[in-house]
Amino acid sequence: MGVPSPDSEILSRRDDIIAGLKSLLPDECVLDSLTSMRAYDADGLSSYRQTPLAVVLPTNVAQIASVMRWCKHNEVKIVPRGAGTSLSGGATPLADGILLSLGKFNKILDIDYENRCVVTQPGVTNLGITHAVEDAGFYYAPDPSSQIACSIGGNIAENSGGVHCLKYGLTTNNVLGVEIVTMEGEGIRIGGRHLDSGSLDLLGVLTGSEGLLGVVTEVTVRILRKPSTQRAMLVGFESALDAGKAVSDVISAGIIPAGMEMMDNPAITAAEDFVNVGYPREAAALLIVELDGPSVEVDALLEAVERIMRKAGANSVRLSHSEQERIDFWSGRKAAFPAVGRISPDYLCMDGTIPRKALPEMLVKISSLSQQYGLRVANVFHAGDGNLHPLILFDANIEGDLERAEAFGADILRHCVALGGVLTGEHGVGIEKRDLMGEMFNETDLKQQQRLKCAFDPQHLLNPGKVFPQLHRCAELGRLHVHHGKLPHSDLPRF
Amino acid sequence: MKLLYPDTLESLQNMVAEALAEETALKIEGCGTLDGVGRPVNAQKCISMKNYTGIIDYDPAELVLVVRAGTRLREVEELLASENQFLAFEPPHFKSLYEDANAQPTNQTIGGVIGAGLAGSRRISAGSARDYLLGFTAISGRAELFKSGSRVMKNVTGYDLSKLMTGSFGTLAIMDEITLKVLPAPEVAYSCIVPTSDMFAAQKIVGQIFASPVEASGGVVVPVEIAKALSLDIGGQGAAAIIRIEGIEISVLDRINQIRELLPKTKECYLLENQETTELWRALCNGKPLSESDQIWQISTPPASGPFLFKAISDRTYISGFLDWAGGLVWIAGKSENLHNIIRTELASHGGGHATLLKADINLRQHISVFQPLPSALHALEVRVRDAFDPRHILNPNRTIPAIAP
Ligand SMILES: Cc1cc2nc3c(=O)[nH]c(=O)nc-3n(C[C@H](O)[C@H](O)[C@H](O)COP(=O)(O)OP(=O)(O)OC[C@H]3O[C@@H](n4cnc5c(N)ncnc54)[C@H](O)[C@@H]3O)c2cc1C
Repeated sequence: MGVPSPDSEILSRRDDIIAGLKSLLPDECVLDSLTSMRAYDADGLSSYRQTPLAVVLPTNVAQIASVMRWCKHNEVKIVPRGAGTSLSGGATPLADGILLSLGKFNKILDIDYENRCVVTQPGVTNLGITHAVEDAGFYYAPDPSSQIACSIGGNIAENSGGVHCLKYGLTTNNVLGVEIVTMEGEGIRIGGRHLDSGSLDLLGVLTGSEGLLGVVTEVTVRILRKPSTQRAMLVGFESALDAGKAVSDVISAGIIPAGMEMMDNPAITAAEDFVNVGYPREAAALLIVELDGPSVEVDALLEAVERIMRKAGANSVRLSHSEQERIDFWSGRKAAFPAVGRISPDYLCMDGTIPRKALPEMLVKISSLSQQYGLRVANVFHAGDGNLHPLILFDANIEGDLERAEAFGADILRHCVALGGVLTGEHGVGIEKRDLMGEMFNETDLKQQQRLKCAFDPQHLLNPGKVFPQLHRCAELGRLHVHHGKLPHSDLPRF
Repeated sequence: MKLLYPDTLESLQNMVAEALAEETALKIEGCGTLDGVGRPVNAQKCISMKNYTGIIDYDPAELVLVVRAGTRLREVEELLASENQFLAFEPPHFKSLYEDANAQPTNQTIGGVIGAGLAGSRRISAGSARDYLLGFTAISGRAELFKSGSRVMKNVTGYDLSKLMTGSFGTLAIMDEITLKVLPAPEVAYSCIVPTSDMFAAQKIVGQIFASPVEASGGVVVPVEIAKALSLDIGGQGAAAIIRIEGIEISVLDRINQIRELLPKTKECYLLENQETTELWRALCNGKPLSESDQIWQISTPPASGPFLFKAISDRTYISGFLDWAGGLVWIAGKSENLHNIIRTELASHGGGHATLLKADINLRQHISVFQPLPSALHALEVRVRDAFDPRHILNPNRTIPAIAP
């Protein structure tokens, strides 16, 4: 892992670059002093800090377009930034690039109840959208734990998820349209208040593209009516393996809860110490299951889920009987990261996904790795969709601890891939998992992805150094190597 | 046209490599059911995926199905039904729509469903093919095997090329293996039919229900002729709202009561139970009430615009049709030679969106834009994206955008 080394030629042009930017934007929209840029030198992957050449804070789309056009012309790199909560280093600045903050794009542009959508600027927070429509009984479904801070533009870039994605999908399933500005400085609208595009699904591929394809300047998302009833269940298990199996059993029974989360004992204790809502401290694992819909449905399904849980070995089951109690049940889970932050000076949050049925096996693996590396782990899982968040506890002040934690994390992710899973379920590749991409993809796969990048940004100016372990020049990627109907090495097996 | 029937990955890859080396265009098809969608392809050879079949893996507990691209939709649906699961996006069976145009007996493949990005009435509540394609392997127009995605529910590792493949009509790559997310099928399904004076009144009801916590899985507005064609009795009224509710029985019945409470006192709502509901929505998804017509369009527009757009078009020319997706999908059948111009101008002034010519004779499809014309910057971007996968334009050239003259 690491930030790309800067290009000294660009660093030497710093003064000109700042002057160039100031000719495009009002002075107060360009930050270039070390102190003013300090707040921007890292995102949620805070072990990696770097001061950019400058931070620009445009206030309208025309300014973004002019900055991008200028940067393209002058071959200056751009890192887009929303709220800076990325956990994979997606918004980590480049020393030889500028940071483009969408922080001033913080207005909701239209609330359209008739078409059940909201049109917003990208800097509005995820929760800000729900707040704007909740009086009318609506909400925006994807709910990352960071929702009070993270921006909807960042959500698009990372295809963020949340605890309710099991039933309601990720960002990609809830976004209808975007406006982007390309590296050319061109504004392009994709989608709108209607469904699908009737041509290539560029909206789908922009979602989750980690700021490498375009800067999102406007977003249209679907909003949903709040379910009439939501109830949660807290289920304690003596064995984490049993809890893992119970998760599979619920889905196998044909029940898709609104959310199904799991925490292991260290996570339970940390959360309980933090929020004090009566999590079972003695349990080896805790499941939080939420069901929503008409109350008759919720009650019937809760009963069915409880039966499955008991059969799988649950030894405590609590149901929420009021909205406050439901919120309390969730509060520990939602605060799991800061809670763990109190028991350890530092932690690394991993984000692999595995097939659900491999949960028990994965738990065993993580605990053996924990012993091997001599580092503690607290596990928080979006268990219903097999998305794991092992939090590796370490102390950055201890020499070598960060490196050990990273190596531990990489081993967990490799094991996810070995079990038929993936490196990242919702946090993105960024710089954090960049060098592990080869675990999942071969050279051909990665080159094909980069060719897509070339269609948007042939000079690799937008957020370079993220996602891909090795940057190939677009001209090289475009070359074809086929002779007389034969591929090179066509005799070799392809799997 | 020379027909090629690959049945192994190697044979498929070699066929593309050969075409690439010779720079000959390839038509790509599953069983050819959707031959009538899109612009006609001019090619010397056709790769038919009809022998490229087989279920690779089906894991009901993981909600995952892996099939080879030529596997038939019907086979997949039967397999899933045996485990009480289904494809939630409800892919339409368009065979009956094109039967006349295509004398050969055909059978939709999963590759075709994904390639055309099909989705039925449940699009509005459960999503489209794009939302269920977890991953795939494919041979690109560079004759290279590549993969994207995975077989787990949540994955943001690398670009989501599954989205790009869905609806790309075989112009980027030829899919080899397809991994789909499947879901438990609902226990019961009921339809509520609410007769109304006209389509606007029906749309108002559909809109109200979709803005309520009822969680309907389908919302359709039909004018009287379509109600008749579907054998629905709407008591002499001019239109009807049709709402579908699915789930466990106790919940479905409760939600039907909620709908009754939402309706104005003067409005009646009558119910269709499981079997009739299944048949009714199959017919709606498949465009059956319009299937006799020679020219059929599907228009995606903001839901509230649906009835206004329909009215504006019917004020200018004779059409029949109905609204699905809670108003957001306008089905139109007509005869006018000028229908495409009328649709495109009215769409631009009634909420926008995109119109696709779903069925027409080859002549019309050759001469007008079958898909929504794109603004120039977006068009240029799409061409570059296509080039990234198929730089020599050997895969289905001309199908979606006019081929560049040699
Ligand atoms: C405590 C905590 C809890 C979290 N919980 C979750 C969770 O439950 N689920 C989840 O999915 N994630 C979670 N995250 C991760 C993070 O919040 C999400 O990835 C979020 O979407 C990032 O949004 P942001 O606005 O902070 O983006 P940033 O961190 O600023 O940027 C993220 C990426 O998006 C790009 N970007 C940002 N804005 C734009 C734009 N307008 N146009 C183009 N590119 C842009 C950046 O270049 C970068 O690559 C959590 C993070 C923290 C710190």
